[in-house]
Amino acid sequence: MNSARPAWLESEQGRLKGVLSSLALPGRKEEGYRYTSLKDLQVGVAQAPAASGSIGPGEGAAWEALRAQGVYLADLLTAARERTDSLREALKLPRQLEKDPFAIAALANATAALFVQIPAGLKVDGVVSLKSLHPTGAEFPRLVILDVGAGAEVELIEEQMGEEQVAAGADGLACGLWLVRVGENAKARLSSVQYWGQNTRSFERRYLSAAKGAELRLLDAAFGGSQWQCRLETECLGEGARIEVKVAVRGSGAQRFDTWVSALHGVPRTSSSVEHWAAVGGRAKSTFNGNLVITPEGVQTDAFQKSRSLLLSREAEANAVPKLEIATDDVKCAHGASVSPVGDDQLFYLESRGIPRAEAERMIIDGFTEPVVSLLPTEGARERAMKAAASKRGDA
Amino acid sequence: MATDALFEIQDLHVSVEGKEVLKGVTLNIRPGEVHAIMGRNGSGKTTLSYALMGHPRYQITKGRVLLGGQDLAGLAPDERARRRLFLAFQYPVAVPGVTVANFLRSSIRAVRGDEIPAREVRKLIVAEAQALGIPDSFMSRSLNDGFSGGERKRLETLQMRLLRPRVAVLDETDSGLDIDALRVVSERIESLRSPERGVLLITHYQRMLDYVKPDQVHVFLDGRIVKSGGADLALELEKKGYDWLGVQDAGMGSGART
Repeated sequence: MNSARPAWLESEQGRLKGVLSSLALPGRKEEGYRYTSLKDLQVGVAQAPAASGSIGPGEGAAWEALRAQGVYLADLLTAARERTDSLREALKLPRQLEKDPFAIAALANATAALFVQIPAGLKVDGVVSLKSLHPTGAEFPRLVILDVGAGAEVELIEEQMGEEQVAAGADGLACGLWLVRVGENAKARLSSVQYWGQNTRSFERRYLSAAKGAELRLLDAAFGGSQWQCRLETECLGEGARIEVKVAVRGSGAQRFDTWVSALHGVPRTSSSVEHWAAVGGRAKSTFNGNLVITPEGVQTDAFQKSRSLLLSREAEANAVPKLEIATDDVKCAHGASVSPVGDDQLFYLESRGIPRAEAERMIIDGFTEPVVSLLPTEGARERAMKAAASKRGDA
Repeated sequence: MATDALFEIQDLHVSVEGKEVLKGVTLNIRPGEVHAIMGRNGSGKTTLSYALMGHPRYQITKGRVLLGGQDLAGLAPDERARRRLFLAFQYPVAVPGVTVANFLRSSIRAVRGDEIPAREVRKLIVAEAQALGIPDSFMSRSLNDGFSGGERKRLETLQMRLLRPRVAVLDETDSGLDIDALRVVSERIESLRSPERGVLLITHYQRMLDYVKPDQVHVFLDGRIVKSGGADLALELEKKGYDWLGVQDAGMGSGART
């Protein structure tokens, strides 16, 4: 494969490997890692990463049909040859992630990478559906780059599979990076659903930017792995841009979920909303790190952040750390966080409507994944996610 | 005891965390009747409504409640609901993540079973919601989550309409409603009045009774009914307040007239 790698890409990835080797992994004292242990973790050391890790078509529109509409969809090396300039631009790490070892690892080592370009004005018919497979216990760096041209519209989902393929006891490391840039007045609806194998430690990084008048919605659902830290960096770049993020995690056993969302508003009249839902049972733990940043230029920002966590056992734990950095008065912001068990009054209310207690409890728990799952773009994706949530009920 | 009563509350004593709150309440509602309970804050009205619906924290220490002649003792709240007892909550509980649509479908299925074909359920919900001025966008919102007081009360009324109870207990359904909403909600309640149904309407104010005419009005003080009368009693209370009753009728005990 390397023989086909253009010199510029070889050089860029080599540079990033150098940066990675010079970076120490963050410690627990660093704000974003207070609740995420990196103990025994080695990133980017695999000399021959698992070649079988892949990103392929999911169950949405056939890739050929998408290409026929004008969608550009290619692996990294093909794109490096065919779309050199736009790929070079798209591969630039935003400043928020420049020093993030997991973002760098994914970019430097990606064994599976996909470049998706939606030409300006194209309203894509059908869902761009990706299925990522993590078949071994090896390190699996992967990369998804999405460029949505001005006025274009697209819906994309990536399902990350691994549950059945990874043998129990085989540790895996998945570093995933999404670089998403949505052009002026474009619309993008994106979804990610994570079902990694039970021993996989996963560090997802996503950069999402919306230009003037663009609308971007991200749904992120996570069920699998032993550890999942998802860092979402959103940025409104032009007036009227709107970014909406909804995250749902459903944890059981000893799983660790850490959702880290930063929303940056640096221009006037933009909006964002972040909803985080977590239901954790067993000894599972969920953390929400919310960071809303409004610069002095971000006047008339309308921003909302809310985290809700449901504890399903005495040993389960949830933390919410919402932070606001607002440098102008002319904004409208709301934020809140709640952590609670299933409420007796909620149960009584549902029971008073004829719903038996066990079903009422199930409705309340499922209510913590449904706000995301119900919006997934394909029926199959919704069914798989509901099944994954249901499979955890025994560990409530 | 009257044998033609649809809903009988007999000498009901209820304790909450060891403290007796209801001290002997007796009330009979015959089919087709609307009874109103009025009383000050803290007099035990909401305790009565929760106890009737079977809230586990509200312990019935004496007395009983019969619906259609059947004792409700030992029945869980969902079983009471399926026997067509309905409680419109004073403070409807928020259930984040459970959409209004999902909740309504589940409760209709639970209470009314196969009475309405599945394909008709949505139509029914839409029609009843429209009549109450509830927009379609409500259906995808989390149940009562972030709703205004008025929105919650409209939704309670919608549920009552959809579940077609034999006996409906409405706990301050008028609070939080502006004048227009009060009229709409009251009309929807009034239109449910039927010879087979009974309504127990708990309220602070006379204003709802302008729309939903009660057959009986009961005054609740300190966990018991201290006076009962016709619709005129509500007007008298509006004029005179409760103090005169506290003095005059405190010794009446549990002997509510029905």
